[in-house]
Formats: sequence, C-alpha cells, structure tokens
Amino acid sequence: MPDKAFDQEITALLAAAGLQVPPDLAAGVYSEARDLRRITSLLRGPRTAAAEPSNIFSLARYAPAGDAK
Amino acid sequence: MTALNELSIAEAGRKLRAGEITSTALTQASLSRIAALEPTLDAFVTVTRERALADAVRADAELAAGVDRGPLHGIPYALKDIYATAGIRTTNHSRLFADQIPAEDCTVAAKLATGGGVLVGKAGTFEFAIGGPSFDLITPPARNPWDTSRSTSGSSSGSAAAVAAGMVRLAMGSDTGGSIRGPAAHCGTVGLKATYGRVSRRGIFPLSFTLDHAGPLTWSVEDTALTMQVIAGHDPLDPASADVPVPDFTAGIGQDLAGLKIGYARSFFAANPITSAEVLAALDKAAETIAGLGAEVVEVELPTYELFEACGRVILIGEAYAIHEQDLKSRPFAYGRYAYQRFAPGAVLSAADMVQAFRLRAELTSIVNDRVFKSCDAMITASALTEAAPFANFAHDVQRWVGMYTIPFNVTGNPALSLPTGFSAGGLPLGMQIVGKPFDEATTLRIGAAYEAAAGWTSIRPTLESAIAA
Repeated sequence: MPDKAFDQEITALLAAAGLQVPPDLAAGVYSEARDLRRITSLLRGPRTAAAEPSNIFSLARYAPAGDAK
Repeated sequence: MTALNELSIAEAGRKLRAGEITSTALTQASLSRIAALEPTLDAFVTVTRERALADAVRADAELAAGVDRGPLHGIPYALKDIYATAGIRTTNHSRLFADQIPAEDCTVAAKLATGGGVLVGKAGTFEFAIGGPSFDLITPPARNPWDTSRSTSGSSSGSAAAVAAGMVRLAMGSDTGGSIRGPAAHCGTVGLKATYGRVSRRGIFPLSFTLDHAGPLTWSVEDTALTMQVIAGHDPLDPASADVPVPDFTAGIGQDLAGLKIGYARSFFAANPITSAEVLAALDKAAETIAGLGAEVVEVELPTYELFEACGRVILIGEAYAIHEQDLKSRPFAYGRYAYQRFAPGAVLSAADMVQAFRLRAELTSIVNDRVFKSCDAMITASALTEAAPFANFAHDVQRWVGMYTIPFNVTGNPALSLPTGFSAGGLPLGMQIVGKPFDEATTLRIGAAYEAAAGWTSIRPTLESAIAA
C-alpha cells in the first residue's frame, strides 16, 4: 500500500530534479521509486568511517614513466 | 553433412581453412536464415546484407592468398545495437537514437573487423539495454526461438535469439545486471560476462559505467573462448580497461576437471521461493556431473542475494540516471514506457545512497573473493530461477526485477559464464553460471566445456522449420 507522505517526498524529489513525469507513466515511476528507497536501507551496514568505497580513484596512470601499472 | 548454419565457429574455421566451404557461402546461409526467421523472431534492428557479402568475399580472397586473421576470419556475427558501428545505424533500440550513424567503430567492432569477422547485422535489445521487453519502440522485442510467445529475457535479447535460432554462431551482448547471462539461460546458449575490465566498452552506449561488461553469446563454450581471443585486451580509451596479459582462453578446452575444487552456491538461490524445482534439480544434476568429471564439489555460502541486488541496483540506476538526466528532463516522451520508468526514479537516490552502495560493493567483493575463491577454483550457481516468461506476464508498468541471479557478479566483477543445464517440462532451456576468479576466464571456460561435452545439451536446438516453411 503506497504511503501518502512517502509519495509526497518522491514527488518533491522528482520536481527538485526538474522532471515532469508524464501522468500515464507516473504509476510505474512511483512504484519503482518506492522500491529503490526501500532497498537503500540495505546499503547501510555497520562499517567504520575509514571504509572507503570501491570506486576510489587512482593516480597510478599518471605516475612518472617506469613506475606506472 | 552438417548444414552450414549448424557448424560451430571452430568447425567452420577448420572447413574454411581446408577449402571445403567459403565465407561467402556461410554468410549467404546466415542471411537466408535471417530472412526466413526474422518475421517470426524480430531479432534484428538492422541487417547489413550488402556489407556482409562484400566482407565475406574479401575474407575468402584473403584466405586464398594465405592471409589468416584468426579464429573469426570469415565467420558471420551480429552486434547488439548499442555497439557503435561506423557508417551503420546504431539506435540503442530507442527513438532517441533512431537515426544515429556513428563515425567510428567501438573497440570491439574494430577488433572483430580486424579479425576478419563478417558483420551481418545489429541485434535488438531492450531500450538502452534496460527498458523491455517493450512493444512501444522502433522495432518489436525479440521472441524466444523455443517458444515465440515468450520473451528471450534481456537485454541482449536479439543477440540470444539470433544465436539460438542459428542465424549466427556469434552475437555480441552487454551485461550490466545479467543482460548476457539471462538471455543465454533462457534461450539455451552460452554467454560470458568476462572480468570487469577484460573487454573494452569504448563506443558501447553505457548503461552503468562501473557495472557494464561486453561479451559474447555463442552456441558452444569453445566458440566463446575463440571469440574472447579476438576481443579481449587492454584499451587505453576505456578507463576501466585492465592492463593485464591476455591468456589462451582455449587452453583448458578438452581437459577433464581433475584437481579443481568447485564451490556450489546452492542455498544462495535454492532458498528463494521463486526458484523452480526444475532449475534446482538441473543444478544439482550439473554439480553431480561436474564431480563425475574429477572435480571436488563443495557447498559454499554467500551473503544474501538481497544485499547484492540492493548494491547493484542502486549503482546501476544512479549511474544510468546521470547518463540520461538531461534527456529525461527535455524529451521524456521520446523514451519507451519501461525505460523511462526505470531511469526517472534515479532522481530519488541521494549522494549518500551512492557512496554507501560503493562501500557495500567493496565489502561484498572482498567476501566473495576471500570466502569462496581463497579455497575454490570456481563456483557454480543458478543463472535464472525459472524458465523464460510469456510476454503476457509483463504488465503495463515496469515491474520489480525478480528471477535472475546474475547481478552479484556485476557487483564483484568476477567472470561468469552461463550455459545450458537442460530443459523444463515445457521444453524451455534452463541454465547455470560458472563463476571464476578475477581474470581467470580460462578456468571457467575449461569447466564449462567439460560439463557441456558430458551433458550434451548443446546438440538440442529449437525447432523452427514451421516458421521457415511459412
């Protein structure tokens, strides 16, 4: 059952992003958005502040010639 | 004598070099089968007949002159229509790019051309490799050659249909959450998502930068290995491309599995209530077969699928939203229904969501590689949890992603090979994944080839004669 307050939040986020959702596509967009928001809670496991993400960038390719790789 | 459209790449290559067949004949056979089946299967967006015939004539002339460009020389193939091809329309199966004609080949297309392959066409996909199966796009979705009332799965839908139907022996796909392995499983073909960074994505329209992989769909494991030999390698123009040596991918083909320890992630998929009894039985039987070939098979545990799915899906939609942000604002009606409904919700993700997803990704990658691959040479698990779905099951609005257990290895980047494990009671293909250590595709291909030879599923092909006769 859609949560009205939650849907209002989704509406605000979509509007803030500059999206004007075509009315006939709205049901699918909201359903998908609700599900996306639901699964974000699974991302927040216990971890230390120092746990860096996997896509941390690397400067290895700019290392002086001979040191790269 | 085996019909030309039934020859594997390896067999066709031997006959080409022995002068028993020509690339022109192979290509004509491929084009004839496409012409006969395309009205039924809708596998292609564009067929490049004239160019293909010209390239085949050139391939024959080169072989006659002693010029051998490698294992794909003279072999007809297709490219998913998100692969940029110089001078050939590349639509991304979307109205937004319906008339796009790129000036340059993507790296994989260039490698295949240099390798003497004969491009016969651009295969259909889900819109931007995500929005489908949809009937509101520039061409209809590909139909499953085993039952044309069913989807191929996606998004490398036309690629899988074309290979399964014998239109081509090789079609390139892309895999961001399972878009090679899902269609391979549901169409009874082999499909490989190699290690992240192994195959260049330059010039392939991105869906999600850090999850996208390019790879082949073929009829046999050996044909996948031969294709990898041509397409793998470092590309400085793809920021994710790995500067690592390219091994002999065929080295283990024909070997038994003695000395290998293979994990079986059974509970990982068996616990899901969606998993069909037929899929589970087929995987159990495959594990037995693999053990019978000399491998030690042990059950292994993975983190729950829901963690991988949450991680992969947030990254995928977040990155895809960034790619499509401007078009979603300025021309929403140009998108098909499903693609818009997948992309637009990316607006509700926060910066913190994305960072947490990438932190979880590092943790999951570490667990898979430290927990499983410290002690195992490879791992098997399900590709899809059910047989292919009827088109009638797809609702008006986009639905939750269920039934595919492929995204975990986009999250971790490990190589994963999907191949047939038999058929449902209704005669539809089932499949499993063989997952390897990073950059050890050769071992996954060795295991796949040994299992394939022992199981014999590859010899069973869809019956399409009625469609051809019509």
